[in-house]
Formats: sequence, structure tokens, C-alpha cells
Amino acid sequence: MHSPAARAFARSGQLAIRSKNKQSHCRRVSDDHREAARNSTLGKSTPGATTTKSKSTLPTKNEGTDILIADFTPPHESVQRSRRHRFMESCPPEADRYQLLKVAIPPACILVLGLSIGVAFRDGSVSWLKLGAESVLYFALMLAVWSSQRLRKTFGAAPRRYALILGFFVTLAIASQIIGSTPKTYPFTRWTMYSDRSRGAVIFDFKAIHASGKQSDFLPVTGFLPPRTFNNTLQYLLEAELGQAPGKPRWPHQLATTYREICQRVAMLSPGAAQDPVVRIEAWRCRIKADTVTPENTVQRELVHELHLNEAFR
Amino acid sequence: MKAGDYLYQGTAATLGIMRIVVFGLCFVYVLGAPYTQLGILPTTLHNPTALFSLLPPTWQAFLISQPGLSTVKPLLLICLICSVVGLRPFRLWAVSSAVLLLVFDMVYKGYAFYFWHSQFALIYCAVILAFSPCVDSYQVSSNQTPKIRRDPAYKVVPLLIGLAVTICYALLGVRRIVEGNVAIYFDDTILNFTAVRAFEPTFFTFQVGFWPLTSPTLAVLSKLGFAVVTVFEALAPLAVVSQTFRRIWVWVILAFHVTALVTMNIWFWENVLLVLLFFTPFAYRLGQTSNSFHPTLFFDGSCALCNSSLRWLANRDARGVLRFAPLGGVTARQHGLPDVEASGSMYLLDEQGMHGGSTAALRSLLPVSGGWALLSSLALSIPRPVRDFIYGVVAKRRYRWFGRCEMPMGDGGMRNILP
Repeated sequence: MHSPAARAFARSGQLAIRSKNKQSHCRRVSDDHREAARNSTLGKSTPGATTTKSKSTLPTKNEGTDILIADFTPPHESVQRSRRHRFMESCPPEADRYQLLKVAIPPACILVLGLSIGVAFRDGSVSWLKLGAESVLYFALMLAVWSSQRLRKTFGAAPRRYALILGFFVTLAIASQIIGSTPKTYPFTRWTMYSDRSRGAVIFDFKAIHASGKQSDFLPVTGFLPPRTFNNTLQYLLEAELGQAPGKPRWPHQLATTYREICQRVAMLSPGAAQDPVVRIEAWRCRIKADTVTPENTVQRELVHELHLNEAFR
Repeated sequence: MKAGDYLYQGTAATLGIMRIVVFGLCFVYVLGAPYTQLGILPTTLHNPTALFSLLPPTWQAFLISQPGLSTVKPLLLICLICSVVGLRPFRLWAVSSAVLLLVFDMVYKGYAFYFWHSQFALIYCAVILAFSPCVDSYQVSSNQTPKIRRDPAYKVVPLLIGLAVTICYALLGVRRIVEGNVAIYFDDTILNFTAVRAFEPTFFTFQVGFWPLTSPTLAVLSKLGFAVVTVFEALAPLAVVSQTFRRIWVWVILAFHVTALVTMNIWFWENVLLVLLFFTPFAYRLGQTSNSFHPTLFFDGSCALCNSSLRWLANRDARGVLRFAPLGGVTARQHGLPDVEASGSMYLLDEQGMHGGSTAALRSLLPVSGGWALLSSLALSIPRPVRDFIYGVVAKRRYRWFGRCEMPMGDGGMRNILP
């Protein structure tokens, strides 16, 4: 395959060069041309002849270059020819353009594969327009990373499986991002933190009322570390209980069980709690409104649910 | 330091350190998780992942039952310890650790109705390391040098892990740019999030998240920081290919994680340690001392403390990497080092040049087997003036406290001694 400049050069009766060694293409154009011109003056090629393969003047196969002599160049065109040579030398080597293509192909393949899997199983939460914009950004990023010659060399020198692991990882990471459901795509997750606009967030605050009438914070963190599992479970069960999760069943018994187990855990860990057991749990809904905030009303509280543990397990 | 980007100069020792840290972090995560207590929650609340659903129903039922919960955690902890110390057959322990870690994580988070992401990067690192030659150094039988040098693999694994970690940041950053649009950087989105997170009960109880709600200046700074962090998150993979960008990126991301702690009570300790491990020269410097270069330690031959320390070093330098030369000797003079009386310090010549004082003493521990290398690396992170002050106090009084002695030549383990 020849560059447009090389084809134009050949059409105008000059040399067409095919370079197998892509690193020094432009240099060889001038070297080979000089050689061909020298041979032509020695009568090794016929003026006006059609394409002739001049085996005697060819570099060996190992040198990686072969020359097609298209035509004899008349002496009066030497000025024009050198100008063309200068143009040839100034244009980017053909190899560089191949290199760019070579660099772009792996990221493009990974992106297409990741997008295909993602779109096939996606839950529809992302619009096509945003998907397109996201894909462009992913491609630009992958291209920027993979265009590092040092990175490619390192991966090229290592066993092939490491490059495959990288490709596999990126493909699945992109697909999972588009699918948008972590249970489906585990161990790949949907990375969306703080991507949506948030106003007036609602969270629950739990209070424990002890037998003595004392009130304390009911925090799973007191009994469990890290507490995320139990916090989230309580929040989920309470939302279902309050009818805030349409279509989801209520779990009154599970809610009571979770409360009680957390109480027992807390009592086990803190000796004083056993003498003064928790008898009631209160759930307070808290709204945080950042747009109309003053230090006094940052958090608005509302009692939404209470459970008497003794009655629940009578 | 060798010329070039340290990220591309991984060695067997680099991977060894990474193995210890990554599997060690997994151990801490598993140990701290209230996994066996999940048995108190009704099994009907468990939200299985697609991967979990692939298991036979009897296995699924066992894994979320109390006996299953009580079995997986100790088993996983044993596998992780074996992986940390590099017990052979390493592949068995490491792959078992990776598989059990996935089971553990998906069961644990399946009860929370939200698969929070803080351990995902750690799990990716563990899985990649399980399939890499990371046990060729810093293992229980560390006196053996690896029979096959797998230099290309040593170099590529840190890059692979670096890309895996940064891709997580990039996916998040890109999604926020596209999904959130420009609006979220100008409205109260981030103020809302920080306030809510500051209010939520977690292990930490910082209330700083409320401050931007009452201070317009802090509100503007929060929004600005949010935008900057998003850009750096989106461009995270460039940290693998550009050293200049990496320097800035590491600071921005560390600052972001610390800010997230004090404003939102969210502490991504795993990610912070992974960033420090993979994107700072710490692990890579360790690796560079264990190749063919022989560091030379110049010491005071008439000091009893120095001589006994050198004997101790030589006994633990199983690979015979270190060379020793007395100050005032031929080798020391060739390097232009002062005499004992004039210097009052030991010197170490290694690949990164000549070091003196506490740096020389600590860096001479790097080729030593066992946990000494790790310990010395941690000690090197102490500011140099502090280290040098302590070193100077001991060095000045070394004759008074420990006495003088004859330099042992060629016996008592003091091989590799230069004139």
C-alpha cells in the first residue's frame, strides 16, 4: 500500500517505492532513487519502458526494500524531482500513519465489544445521547493511554496473557458501566457516585428507648464495624414498612428481628446495656435541605415509625 | 535513582511488596467485616449477584447459612495469610484467596442492598496478583533466588494493576461529566451530598460536611474542588503513562480522600493505600536494590557498634548483595570519602548515589531478607532531619557507649569486605 504522495510520484514517472521497513521510509526513497538513477545511466533500465523489476539493483530481502522502476527520468526534470523529493521527505512517513492505525485498533475493538455487551443487557437508565458522549470520552482516554509507546512496548515484551487480562478487564468494566446493575455485573460495578442532582435528601435516624426511660442513639456502628450492611438493611426495611418503596413487599417481622439482634449485639458488647435493655426503637425521618438552609433548620426531623420490642416478640 | 519512570521498573521485589500489601489489606478487610454476624439477618433479605446465582442452589443455601458464614471467613483468612507470606504452592493459596474473596464480598454486600465499591479496586489487585509471579521475592523461603528471571512480567504487572485501579476512577469521572452535566458543579448537589453523609451514622463522626451550608466561601470551594476532582478522576489512567501528571494526580486524589473523610465520613482507606503503593516510588525503590548492583557500605572499622551491626547485616544478607569497606581505606578514598574522625557517619553507595547518616543506615537494610526491608522503607518516610538528629546523637557517642574494637577481616560472616 502506498501513500498518496508516493502514488502521485509514481504516476509522474518517478519511482514508486515500497518500503517494508517502516521506520526509515523517507530516507530510503531518496537513497533508492539515487541508486536507480545511477543504474539508469549505466544502461540497466530502458527509457520509456513500462514497469520493470530491476532485480540487480534491489537491496536484498533482508534490507526490506524493493524498487519498481516506472520510467526513466529526463535530466531536465531533475529540479522538479528534487522538489518532489523534498515534499516526500517533509510528509509524515507512511509507517507513522500505520502506527496510528495500529494504536487505535485495540482500543476501538475493546470499546465496541464493551459497548455491544453493555447495550445488549443495559437497563435503559442512560440515554443514547449520553451513551454516545460517554463512548467518545472512553475512546479518547484509551487512545491517549495506548498511544504511549513505552506502555505498548512493556506489554509487548511481556507474555501475551497480561495484554489479554487488560483487554478483558477494560471490556467488562465498560460493559458493566453501561448495563448499570451491580448484582448483574459483579465483580464489576456501576460507577455513578454523585453524578445525579440531589435536593432535599431523606435519611433515617434511629433512637433507642431503654427500660429506665433513657434515650440513646441506636447505631449499628456501636455493635458492628463496618456498619454499612446493617444501616442499609434497616433503611431498606423501614422504607418498605412505610410504603416508600412501591412494589416491594413489607418485612415487619424481619425489621423487628433486625432491631432485636442489633440490640442484643450492643448489649453483649457494652455490659451496662444488659441491665437497662432497649424496649422501644424510634425511627425519625430527617430531611436535609441545602438550598433553604440556616444553622437552625438544616435537619428537619419527623417521627415516622416506632416499634415496641417486647410486644413484637410476645 | 535510575533514570526513567519508576512505574516501568518493577522487579521481583516490587511485586513481592505489592503482594504483601494487597493481600494484607484484604486480610484486614475480611477480619474487620461482621461476616459471621450476618446470620442474624433473615436469609430472604439476601440479594444474590448473577455470579452467585451460577452456583448450585445447595451451595448458595450453604454459603448464606450460619455454618457457611462461619466457614468461609476463617478459611479465607488462612488463605490470605499464606498468600501474604508467599507459602508454596503460592498459586493455590492465591487463587483460593481470590475466589473466596469474591464469594465473601458478594455475600457480605448482598445483604446491604447496595454493592458499595470501596473494596472493588482491592479485589481487582488481588485477582491480578494471584496470576502473576509475585512470589519470587519476600517469601518465607526468601534465601532462594528465583531460578527463572521474569523481568517483562515484573514490569508489566504494576502497570496492569495501575491501569485497573485508575480505570475505576476514570469510569466514575466520565459518568459524572456526562450524566451530571455542568449543572451539578454550580448548584447545591455536592453540598447536599456532603451534608447527608455527614449526618449519616458511621464509624467517623466528623461534622465538617455541614460547614459549606453556612459559609458561602466554603460552598464555592467545595464546588470548585468537586469539579477539579472530577476532571482528575476522568483522566486517571494518564497517571500510568505520564510521570508529571502522576505527581499531581496522586496529591489531588489523596487530598480528595482525606476531604471525603472529614466532610462525608467516608474513608476509602484501601484506595488510599493502593494509590500510595502503586503510584509512589516506595515499592519500586525496594526492587531496584535487589538486582545485580552491589551497594557498598562504608563504615568506621574501629567502632564496636558499627562492626557488630555489619556482622548482623552480613549474616542476614543471604544473597550476598552488600559490600563493606572501612572509612579511610582504599575504596573509600577512591570515592573521595573523608576519614573516620572527619565524617562521624557511615556512607552507602547504591544505584541512587552516595548516602550518609541515617539514610545510609536505613537503606543498607533494603537487601536484607525478612521484614527488615519493609521496616526500613517505612522508617525512610520519616523526615530526614528527624532521622539524622537521632542518628547523630548515637554516632557522636558511639565510642563512649559501645567502645572500640579491631575490624574483623574475612571471618565472622564478614565476607564481601573491600580494602
